Amino acid sequence: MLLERTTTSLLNSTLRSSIRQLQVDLQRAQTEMSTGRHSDAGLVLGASVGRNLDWRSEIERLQTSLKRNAIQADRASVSQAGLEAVKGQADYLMKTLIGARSAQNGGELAKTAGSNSLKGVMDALSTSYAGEFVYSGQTPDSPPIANYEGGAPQSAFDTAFFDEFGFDKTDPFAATITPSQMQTFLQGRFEDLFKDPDWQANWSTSSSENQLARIDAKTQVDADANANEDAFRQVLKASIAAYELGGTAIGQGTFQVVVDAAAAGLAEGLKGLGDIQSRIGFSEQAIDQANARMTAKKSLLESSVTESEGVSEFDAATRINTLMTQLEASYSVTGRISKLSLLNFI
Amino acid sequence: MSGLTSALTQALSGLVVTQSQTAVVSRNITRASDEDYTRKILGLTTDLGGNARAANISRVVESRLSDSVSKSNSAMSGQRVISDALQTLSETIGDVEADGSIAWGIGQLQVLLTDYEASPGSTTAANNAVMAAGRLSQSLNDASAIVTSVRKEADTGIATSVATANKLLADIEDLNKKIVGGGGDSGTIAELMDKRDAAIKSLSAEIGVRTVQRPNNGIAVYADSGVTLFDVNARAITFNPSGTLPANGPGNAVYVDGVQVTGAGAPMALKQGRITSQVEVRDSLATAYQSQLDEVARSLIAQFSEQDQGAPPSLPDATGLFSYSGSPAVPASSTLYPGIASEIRLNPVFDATQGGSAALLRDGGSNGAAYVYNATGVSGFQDRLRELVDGLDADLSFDPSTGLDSTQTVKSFAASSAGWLEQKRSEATRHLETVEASYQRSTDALAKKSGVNIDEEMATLLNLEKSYQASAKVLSTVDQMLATMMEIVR
Repeated sequence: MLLERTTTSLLNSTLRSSIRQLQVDLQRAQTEMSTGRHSDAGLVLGASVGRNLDWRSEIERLQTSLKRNAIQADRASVSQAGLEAVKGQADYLMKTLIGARSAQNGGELAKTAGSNSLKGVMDALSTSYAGEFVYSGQTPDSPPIANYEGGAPQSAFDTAFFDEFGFDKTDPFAATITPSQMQTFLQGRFEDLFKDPDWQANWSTSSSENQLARIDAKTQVDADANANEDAFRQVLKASIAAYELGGTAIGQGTFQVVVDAAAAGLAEGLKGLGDIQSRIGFSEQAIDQANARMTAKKSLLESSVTESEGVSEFDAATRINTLMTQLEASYSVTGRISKLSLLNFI
Repeated sequence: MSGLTSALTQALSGLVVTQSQTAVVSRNITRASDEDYTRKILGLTTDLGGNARAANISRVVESRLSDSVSKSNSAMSGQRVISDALQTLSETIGDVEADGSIAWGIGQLQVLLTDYEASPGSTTAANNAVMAAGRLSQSLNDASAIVTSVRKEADTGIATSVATANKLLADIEDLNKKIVGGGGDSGTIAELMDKRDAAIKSLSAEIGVRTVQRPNNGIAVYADSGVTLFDVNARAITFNPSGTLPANGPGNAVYVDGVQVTGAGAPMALKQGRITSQVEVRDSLATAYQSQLDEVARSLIAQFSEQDQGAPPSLPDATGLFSYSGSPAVPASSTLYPGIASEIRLNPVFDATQGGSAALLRDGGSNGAAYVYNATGVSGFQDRLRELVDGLDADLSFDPSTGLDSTQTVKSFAASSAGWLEQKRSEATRHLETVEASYQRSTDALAKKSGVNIDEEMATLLNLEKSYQASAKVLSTVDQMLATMMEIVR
C-alpha cells in the first residue's frame, strides 16, 4: 500500500455516518427511558421471546385463577352458611322433641316444631349464589327440592300412610295405632319415601353430582353439597315425622316411638352435616393455600419478566447524557472540518 | 539559434502539457463527490526531440480493492433482504408484552374455557370462549397471509433482480466492446472503464461476482459459484415467476445460460447477493415458519375434535370447534398438513352470532348424537370442558420437520415458534451490522486509493499555475532574445 491518504468525501462522510448512528442510539435511549423497557424487546431477547411469552401467559392464567378462586371461596362460604342454618333447625327440632316426648300436648308441640323446621330447611336448601342454586349439583338452574305442602311429596306421604294403616292421617282412628305398628311404618314405607327412587320421583330435582371447582391449573376440589345428601334427607324425614305424625290422633306410647325415631334420625343428620361442613372446609383451606402459592408464583414471574425485558431508567438516562455529549462534539468537529479547505487560503 | 528555437519548442510543449494536466485536475475536482469516479492521472512522455508530451490518462485503481467492495456489497445486499423479510414476519408476533400473538391467543382460549368450566350454565361464558377461539383461528389465518405475502414479495424480488442483472450485463457488454475496440482517446476510455466498474458494483448487489482481466482492458465476469455471466457476450439469466407458491414447497429456480443456479439440485448454486437471499426467504425461512403455524393449527383442530361416545365407539373422530377444508375428518397426527393454518376456521355451529350454540362446547354433539358427551343434558356438566382445558396442557407430538421440539404442549410450541423467529431476526440484525461495517471499510479503502482529495488537486493546480507562468515567462524571454537578435542583424 502506498502512503496513507484520504479523500475529501471520506473526511465528511465518516463523521456523517457516526452522527447518524448516534442519533439512532439517542432515539432508542429516549424510548427506553420513558417506557422502562427495551425499545425492541424481540431483538434483545431472541429465542427467549418464547420463554417470556410463556411467562406472561402463565401470569395471566394465575391472575384469572385468583379472581375465580375469590368467587369460588365466596360461594363455598354461602354453602357453609346454609348448612349451618340446617344444623340450627335440626338442633332446635331435637330439643323440642325431647321436651315434647313426655309432655301433655306433645303432639301439638311436635307438629309446630316440625313445621318450622321443615320451612327452615326448605329455605336453606333454596339458597342461590350468582343466579345458581347452590345445592342443586349439576343442575344449578333449577331449584333442588319441590315444595312439600300441597305438593307431590305430601301426597306421597298421605298415600304411604293410607297404604300402611288403611285410613287417612286426619282420621281419629289413628289413636288405635300401636307403637310396633308405627315402628313398622317408620322403618318401612316412610323410610322408603326418602330413598331412591321415590326421593327423586317426589321431592328432589337436584343432581347427585357436584360441580367441581378448579382452584389451580391442575387441582379441582368439591366445595359444594347437593340436596340429595343423606344428612338433608334425615333432617327432612325427622321434620316431616314430627309435623305430620305429631298432628295425628296417635296415643302417647306411639308418639314416643315417633319422637325416638326422629331424634335418632336428627342425630345422624347432624353428624352428616358436620361431615359435609368439614369437607367443604377442607376445600376452602385448599383454595386459600392455592391462592398463596399462586400469588407467590405470580410475583416471581412478574419480576422475571421485568428483569429480562426492562431497562433501568438510570442506565437509559446516563446513556442519553453520554450520547448527547458525543453528538454535540461530533457536530462541532464536523462544522470545523468542513471549513478546512485550501480554497480558503488561496 | 537552434538553442533558442529549441527553448521555444520546449516551452511551448510545456505549456500544452500543463494545459492537459490542468484539464485532468479540473475534471478530478468537478467529479470529486461522485462515488464511482476514479482519480485520473496524466502520464507524461518525451518525444524524440526531447520535448514533453502528454501521454495517456490513467485511472488510479487497485482491482483487489474493487473486488473487496463487490464482495461485501453482495453480502450486505443479501443480508438486507433477509433482515427485512424477518422484520415483516415478526409482525405476526408483535411486542412480547402486547396481546395478539398466537401464543397469547391460546392462553386466552384456555383462560376463557376455564371460566366456562367454572360456570357451565352461563351462556356469556360459553360465548366468550367461542369468540376467543374465533380470534385465535383468525390470527392463524392472518399470520399465514403475511407469510404468503412475504414469499410472493421474494418471488417478485427475484424477477426484478434478474431483470436488473440482465440489463447490467447488457450495459457491461456494450461498454466492454467500446473499451476493447480502442476507438477514442484515453480519457474517454478511462471514463468508460469507470462506468463499467460501476455496473459491476451494481451487479454485485444482485449476484456475487468475480472479475478476470482480459487483453486490451477487457474483462470477464463470473458469478461467485463459477458460472459465466459475461465473457465477450453477456449470458442470459432466466426466471419464470412462480405464480401461486406451493404451501410447503419451493418456487421456481433461476437459470444462467440454462444452468440452474438456485435451489436444491443446482449444480452451481449462487452464494451471495439478493437473488440467493430472496430464494432463501421464499423457499426456506418463510416455509419453515409456515410449517410451524400449520402445526399449531393442526393440533388445535385435533385437540378440539369430538370422539364417538358410544361403548364401544364405532365412528371416527370428527372435527369440532375448529374446522378446515378436510372437515369432519381429523388431520393425521404428528404429520404436517401444509397450508392448514390458512384454512382453520371457527365452526359456525358453535357461533351464536351465526345462529349456532356455544353450549356445544360443553355438551359435544356438533357431529351428531353419537358425539354428545353430556348424556343427561344437565347445565352443570363439566367433564367435556375439563377435558378441553387439561388437553391444552398436555404434551402433544409435532412433525419434527418444523425445526422445533417435537414433544411439547401446543402453548409452548407456539411460544417456541415465536422465539425461533425472533432469534433469527436478532441474529440477522447483528449479522447485518457486521456486513454493513465490512462494506463501509472496503468502500473506504477503495476511496482512499481512488478517491479525489480536493486539497491535493488544488495544491497540484497551484503548481501547474506556477509551471505555466514559468513556461510563459520562458516564451516571452526567448521572444525578447530573438527580437534583440533581429535588432542586431538589422
